[in-house]
Amino acid sequence: MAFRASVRRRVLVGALAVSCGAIVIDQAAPSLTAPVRSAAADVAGPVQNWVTGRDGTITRLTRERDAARRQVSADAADRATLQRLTALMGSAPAQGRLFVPAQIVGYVTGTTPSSLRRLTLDVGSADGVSNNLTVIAAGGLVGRVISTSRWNCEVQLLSDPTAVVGARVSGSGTVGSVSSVAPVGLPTRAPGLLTFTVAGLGPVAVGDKLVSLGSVDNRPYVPDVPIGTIVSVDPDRGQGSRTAVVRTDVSFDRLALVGVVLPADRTSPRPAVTGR
Amino acid sequence: MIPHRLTVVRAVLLVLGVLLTVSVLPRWAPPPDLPLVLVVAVGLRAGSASGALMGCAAGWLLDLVPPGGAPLGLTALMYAGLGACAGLVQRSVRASVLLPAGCVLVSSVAAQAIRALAAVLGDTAYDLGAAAITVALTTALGAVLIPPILRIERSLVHRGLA
Repeated sequence: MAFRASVRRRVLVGALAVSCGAIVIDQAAPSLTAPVRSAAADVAGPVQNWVTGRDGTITRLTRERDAARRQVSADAADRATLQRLTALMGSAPAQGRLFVPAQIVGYVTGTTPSSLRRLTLDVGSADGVSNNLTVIAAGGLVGRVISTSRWNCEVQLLSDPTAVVGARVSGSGTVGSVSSVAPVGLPTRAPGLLTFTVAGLGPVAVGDKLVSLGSVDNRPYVPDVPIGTIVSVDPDRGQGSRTAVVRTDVSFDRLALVGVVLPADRTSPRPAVTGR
Repeated sequence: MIPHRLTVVRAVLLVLGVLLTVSVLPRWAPPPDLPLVLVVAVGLRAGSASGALMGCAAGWLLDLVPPGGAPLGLTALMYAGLGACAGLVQRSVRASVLLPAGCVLVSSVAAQAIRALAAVLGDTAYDLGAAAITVALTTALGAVLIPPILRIERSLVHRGLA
């Protein structure tokens, strides 16, 4: 025999003790036995591959198929982005304006998840974005930049309770302000509906289109960007001035691509004209 | 130390059996337990101690060669026990032609029972149908393979190569 009986018994006892120890260690701390397993796999793997006659065909074809799938989905995503960008560039708010296209990478909701307050965009100061710039989408006004980092910026949406935008009814010229806070005495608006508060006594009617009034030096809002449509005029409940309900042209919960309008300061003075 | 030829033959058979069982045969059906057949053969020929050692080696190989067994070492203990049990009937092996097949059947059932217990305790799935096929195939293979293995071992021992 290979061993004398006493040696064989000693080897056997040792092997059994090692097995018992291995069971305990493997159950208690599998990370300790993992190197043993991986070493055994390194040794046995090539032999197993050779025994089973496995060549790389399946692996190679699988890799090629996965790469093709990835390519297809990446192409589809690129096409969708290009379509959105084309739509944004051809839209009324973007007409004649210099803007940086941006994608939404984050959002902050209000007290209820149904109302969005802020967005995070993937452009920042490195792209020429600074605070108090107007953000537009293909539909109309989105909000303004309130803070900027190097590669990202934060946008305050029109639906943020602290946002107030000067607005004008595009036909009649009635001016006022748009905010998401309902006036005292009226019930809160449904999500997505804003309040237009008329300054003075100008007329306002259902179906009127609102555009932005613009701000000093075009910050934070550039003029003549569509905001929304009047869907109802509030009854007089003793509020300070006339108010109306506005449905925004942009649905803030379905934004994908927006544009940050870069400042285009006036360089030449406006000429005076003589009346006829 | 140069290993004796009997040890080499056993080692080669064991490695072949493990590779076949783990890699090649599972492609078609639940594989027969070839290492167990070898362990029982050694136990029947050389006695409990050799059977237990062979079982230990076979179990460690099965536990380590991917996909491997969990927990590490359980198969080694189990096969060592089965090899030692096979060694208990060492003296009766010349009395009956059916003894090797019966021994493999009992060992295989015992092995599957322990695996089922481990599966229940470890809360993993256990395929009873596959286990039955494995037991049947192992028994059939044992009935065919054990007599030639015994003959090879005996001739090696007889020629003083063990």
